[in-house]
Amino acid sequence: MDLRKLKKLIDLVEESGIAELEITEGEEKVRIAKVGSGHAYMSAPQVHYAMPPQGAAAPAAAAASIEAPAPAEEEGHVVKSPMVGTFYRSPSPGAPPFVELGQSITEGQTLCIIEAMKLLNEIESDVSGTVKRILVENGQPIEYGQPLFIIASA
Amino acid sequence: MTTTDLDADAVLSALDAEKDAVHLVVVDSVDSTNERLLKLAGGGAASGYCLVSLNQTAGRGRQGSRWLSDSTGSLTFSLLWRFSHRTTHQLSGLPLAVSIALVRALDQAGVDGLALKWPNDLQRHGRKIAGILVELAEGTAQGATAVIGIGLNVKLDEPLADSLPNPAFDLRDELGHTPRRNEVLAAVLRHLLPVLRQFDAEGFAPFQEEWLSRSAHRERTIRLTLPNNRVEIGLCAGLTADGALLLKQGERITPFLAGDVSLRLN
Repeated sequence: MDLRKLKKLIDLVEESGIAELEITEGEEKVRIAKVGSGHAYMSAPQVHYAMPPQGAAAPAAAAASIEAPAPAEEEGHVVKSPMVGTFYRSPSPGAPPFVELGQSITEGQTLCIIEAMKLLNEIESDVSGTVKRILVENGQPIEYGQPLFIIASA
Repeated sequence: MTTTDLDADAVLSALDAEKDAVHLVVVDSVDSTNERLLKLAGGGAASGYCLVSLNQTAGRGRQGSRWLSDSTGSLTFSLLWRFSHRTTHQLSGLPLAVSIALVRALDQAGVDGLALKWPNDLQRHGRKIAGILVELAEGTAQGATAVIGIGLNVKLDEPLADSLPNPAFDLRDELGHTPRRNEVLAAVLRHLLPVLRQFDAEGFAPFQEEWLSRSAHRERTIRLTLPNNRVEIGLCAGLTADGALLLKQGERITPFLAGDVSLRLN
């Protein structure tokens, strides 16, 4: 099956409401399954279309981690990511982070930047308080809705 | 602003039917048109607010890189756009759609052979003519607001051209004359506004094929340097419907949302 055809199939699955599509063509068989945020991954007999390890390569690949950390048990306000992308703690490499652990912050203060394909989103705190936990590493791929910070209310 | 090739009235009259869709403000100097417009967005500025600066003193790039320009040789502006059918989460292909609008405008202006480097660099033989940086303002449950910053090389002066970290070219090199920035801005807006409306209604999918047809790396072996500096090498296998880059490594195809693309050097 050629690349263009595979890509068309991936798009088809992505755009549709279906979760999984399996196609057999002669001796070739491809199964495309939708995971998490709507990005399609493929798997097929003899061919392993594995998801990259967590926190490693593709931001889009970390789909399984949406529900992963369970900071709800902790006291405090959870700031979540409004989009899939890469997490940056500082405005540029080498610059000091926007916020440090234990730092007092005010509502509206910038906490981090999320970037996806040159679309930048400065995430501001919607509460005042203290940075109690920073749940992700600089440069780490993150998912939609993934918890980023826990802010202890002032 | 009396003796300039850039003034709001001239641009608006060149916009014809689209002139009511933009609120055009030309200023002499600003630190960053994106930064200023993001503040105005927070204050309730309307969709279509377009801030043009004759001289931008601290133009922004991504992750601290700067967009360098000079007061006469660059067109630097930002456009505020409020999307009513997309949330922040659904805007990921927007920078790529914007690059399509710019390619259409420059094609029509007579620039030959422009190619796109993922996600949204306009270049020819590795030399860059324009930069795009899209920043999101606070979204709501019903929609999303973006500030689209564009820098376009019209006539780079030599000291600036020499100081750029990456090779560039400009419209004057290409066209043999220096076009008036009024006309360049009007041409870009005439293509950009319909693209933004279509993106709001349908997302990136309608632009996917056109983007691929202009890709500098389609079905070539590329190096993708990830934000954590890891390097992935694979075949550029296209884009997903929301603009993520598909990299084929062996039998595995993975979508990527970040990274710096270069041709693999053997």
